[in-house]
Amino acid sequence: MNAQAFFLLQQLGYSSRNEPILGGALIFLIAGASIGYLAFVRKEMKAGPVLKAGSILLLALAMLAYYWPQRPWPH
Amino acid sequence: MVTLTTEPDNESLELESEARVGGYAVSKRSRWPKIIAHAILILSVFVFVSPFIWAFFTSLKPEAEIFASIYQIIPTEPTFENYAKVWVEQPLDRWVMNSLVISTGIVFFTLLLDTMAGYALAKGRFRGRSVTFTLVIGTLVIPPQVVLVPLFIEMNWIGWGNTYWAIMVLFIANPFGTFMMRQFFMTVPDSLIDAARMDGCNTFQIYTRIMLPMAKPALASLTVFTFIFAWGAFLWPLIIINDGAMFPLQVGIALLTGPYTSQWGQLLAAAIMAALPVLTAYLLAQKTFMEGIALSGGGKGQ
Amino acid sequence: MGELRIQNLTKVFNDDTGQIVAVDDFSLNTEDGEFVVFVGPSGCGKSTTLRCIAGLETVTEGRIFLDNEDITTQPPTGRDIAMVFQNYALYPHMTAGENMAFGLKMSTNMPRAEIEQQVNETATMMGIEELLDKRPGELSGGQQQRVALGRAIVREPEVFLMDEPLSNLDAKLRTQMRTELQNLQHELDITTIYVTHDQTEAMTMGDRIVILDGGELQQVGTPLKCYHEPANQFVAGFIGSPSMNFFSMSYENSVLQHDAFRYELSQSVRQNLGTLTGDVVLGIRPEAIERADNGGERTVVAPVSVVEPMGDVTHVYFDVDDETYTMSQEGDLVTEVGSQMELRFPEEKIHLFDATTGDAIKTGSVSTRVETTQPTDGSDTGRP
Repeated sequence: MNAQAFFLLQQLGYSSRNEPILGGALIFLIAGASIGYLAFVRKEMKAGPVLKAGSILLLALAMLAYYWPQRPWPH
Repeated sequence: MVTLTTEPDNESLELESEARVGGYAVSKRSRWPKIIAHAILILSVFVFVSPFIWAFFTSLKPEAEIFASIYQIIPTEPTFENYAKVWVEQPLDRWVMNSLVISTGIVFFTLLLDTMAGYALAKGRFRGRSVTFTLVIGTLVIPPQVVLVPLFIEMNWIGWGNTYWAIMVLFIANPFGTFMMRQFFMTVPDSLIDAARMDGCNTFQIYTRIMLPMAKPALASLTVFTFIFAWGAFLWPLIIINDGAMFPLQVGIALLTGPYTSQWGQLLAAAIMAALPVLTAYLLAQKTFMEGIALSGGGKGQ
Repeated sequence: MGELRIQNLTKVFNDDTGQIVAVDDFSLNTEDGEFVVFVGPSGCGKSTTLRCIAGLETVTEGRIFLDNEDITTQPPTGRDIAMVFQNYALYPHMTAGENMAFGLKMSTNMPRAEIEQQVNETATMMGIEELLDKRPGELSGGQQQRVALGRAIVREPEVFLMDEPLSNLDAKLRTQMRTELQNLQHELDITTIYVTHDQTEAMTMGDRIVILDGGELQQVGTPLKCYHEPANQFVAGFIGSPSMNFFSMSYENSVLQHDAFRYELSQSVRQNLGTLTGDVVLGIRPEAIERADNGGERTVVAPVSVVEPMGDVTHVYFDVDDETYTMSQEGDLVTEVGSQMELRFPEEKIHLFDATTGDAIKTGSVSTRVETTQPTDGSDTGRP
């Protein structure tokens, strides 16, 4: 369990060709979640469509990075 | 030369002054100034745009034809062969992904840290505030190339060679953004913060509920600035990354030209594709971009 | 409810250049529903005192009590106090309605519907229902002022603090808002502390006024008491427009001696002064000076330098010993610039101040009349 976690940590921010891009997924997730919070939860922000679409796009990119080996185009 | 007549005859004075400037600036009747100004503008637009157009058309030529028909700008048989090839033969999708990861990370953390730092520097009351600000601005005068080698050693020492973090950590919290956000927050009256505190906000709530929403225009332009900058980052990623799978797009494209073979067609095709996001970002956010320039230039005076 | 008690409040700012005492040993008790006006020149510490009460500044020394509860170290939210700011301080990214609702949303667990209802009720009372959906940028100064007031009222606080709320309005609107604010305060019956540098506002609005200078309390009292019985030379000069005339005199052998004239005091006043001798300052309000056409006692002859007709009154500036002084006379009297005027200073209306400390030695003796028409004042804590 610990060894596996350590292995994952080492892989963060680095992955060779056909592996999940863990670091990328993490960054997209953090950015997407934060912007999503501002866009959907914080009413004060008066978020426009750009912010809302942007946060969804970033979350989608996080999924894509995590499932990089299964990306839906020829590779 | 102006010879003032003894009689204060306005009309003759006007005619004289017109003759003096030779139709360059003042006269309403002459169209020459406008024509000359536009000629200069059109010429400079051409100078700046033509390489881009040339690159686009050349990317549509087959590899073999590029040097054969170098003076024929428009290809006889345009083809998207290069675009398909670079996509298939090079890990272009991965490079785009890398660039996206890096740009997103840089933009996100830049916004987060610069707004916080700018807010603190503009509205915080703490010892050494002006010294901190001077230091932040001071880092602007250090050319990044100077510190590349020590940084490279440092990054490898902490085991961040070939990682996204190594690229990002250098660019987040850039002093320009801090300065820009500080200038913006300086224009926010203190009483607004007092009012928020009376309304029951703590410092963090003032930041998220009052300051950030108000800073939306500034944030938008800083986003565009930073994105364009991060997307184009080249030298530092080139040095710190040596694994082909971790290249950002710019580095990947540059390394398409090798010492023995150069695939110019593919390179130009990739370059055109690399320019598209920046172009889109600029066109979408042209207005905010301009506002941002105005903000960082004369924000305090407004 | 709404009884604010301030005890020995002191606020010291630490600057790069050293310490600045903004408020020095300030004490005040207010009754529930009272309208207290803090007035003084800029930098006198009135705004700092207000910010200490609000909880926006930490108190260096002293205590603040609200309804006998010590709130000195409480955060602003814990104090049940609302504040109106000089530049309104409306959040530009929220509509007027959201501005008003924000405080309730942040500091109470009131359900959204209830907040909305309360905002609507307040807006109706203030006559700003149709502005609720507009952003502050779309509102005029007067409308913004109303929204800012509404934002304070909707909280239903124990105490209102107002920091020069009218100074950004034009003169006509300011007069109108002044009346409106007074009516509102009467209706709501909420203790209000109002800061201004404008002595007219202070005189017309306050149940009691608190005069500050250099961080120190000068006098607390009803407007008329402060006007007729100023505790010291500063208050005398600050309250009233045009301000009081001061003559440097020396008091010897029962006579006040000025370089240009002498002023004899009557037996009763002399008795009050007792054994005092030396330098004193004689003060007299412009409207207390009378024209004397036939000479006589306690008169001064002076040349007229400037005449300012205001319509109902005329301000006449005259010179005594190279100093310019002011008198007000009825508007239909004509006075020529350069002519000589004979002026009488009625003894019952002169004020005498200690030349060094500025403390009042003798005030205008209209106090009996004032007290009978203003019987509410019983809690003066000002200087003797």
